[in-house]
Amino acid sequence: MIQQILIAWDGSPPARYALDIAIDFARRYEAELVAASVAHSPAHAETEGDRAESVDAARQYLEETLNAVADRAERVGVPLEHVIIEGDNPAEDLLHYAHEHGIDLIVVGHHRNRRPGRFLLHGLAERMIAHAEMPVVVVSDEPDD
Amino acid sequence: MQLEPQRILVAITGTVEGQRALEHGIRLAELIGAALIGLVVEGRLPTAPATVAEVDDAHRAREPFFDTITTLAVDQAAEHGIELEIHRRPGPFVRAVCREAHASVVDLVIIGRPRSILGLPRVASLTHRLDCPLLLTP
Repeated sequence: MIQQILIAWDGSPPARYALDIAIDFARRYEAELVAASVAHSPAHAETEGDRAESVDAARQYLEETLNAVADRAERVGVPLEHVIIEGDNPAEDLLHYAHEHGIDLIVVGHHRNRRPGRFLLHGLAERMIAHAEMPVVVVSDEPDD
Repeated sequence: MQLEPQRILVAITGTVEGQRALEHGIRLAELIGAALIGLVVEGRLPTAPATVAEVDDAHRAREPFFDTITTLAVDQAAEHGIELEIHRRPGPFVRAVCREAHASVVDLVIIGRPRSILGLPRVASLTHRLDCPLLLTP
């Protein structure tokens, strides 16, 4: 049923919440778990050198933040693979990866607040929900009140 | 936050999307041995009923629909050996789902993905108000 699960990993607190849920789903389903990240350069990178430098910095940040919490998966015997995609549109890049690799379930973190923005889904989660061809689990972090 | 879903709430709407959500809920409950609760939200009554009789008529007119989708869902779950507990609550949808999720202390809510982007604010409102993860089936 569910053999491959993708967790959208950007190192943020909501992503850490989502990782715990993804690990649990992977353990329950006995599925493979892939943490997929998009290393993208900021729009203001003017040269190829700037771009490469910022992508490298993003890559390093994503690896370090995931390594810091990867033991959560190890503790319950869930192998966690980290894939870093270079691209400029995280939602589209992750969905493309999910489609190409036969991902069965996507888990995405979402930051919530109590302010008027509660009627909007922000960025990645919204695009994932709107366009994914597979089930998407949205995991919200604690409200910031 | 409970990480291992022991109690799952699935919204039963009688739509194609709701059917997919129910199927996913049944499979998940079957796989992990979780309790499955089906929520039927009875939407708003006619916006401008003139009399109490009109409200009663509206109630009576939609009873067969809710009875049918409830029976079908329970039968479908039973085919997989799952006992589906049905709760019928008055709408609006988001408020009913959140209240039921809280009251039934569920660990996961499953709903069908809205048919158009116009339904995304409802999803956003749910994600902001629920204390547990929300699973949307395509």
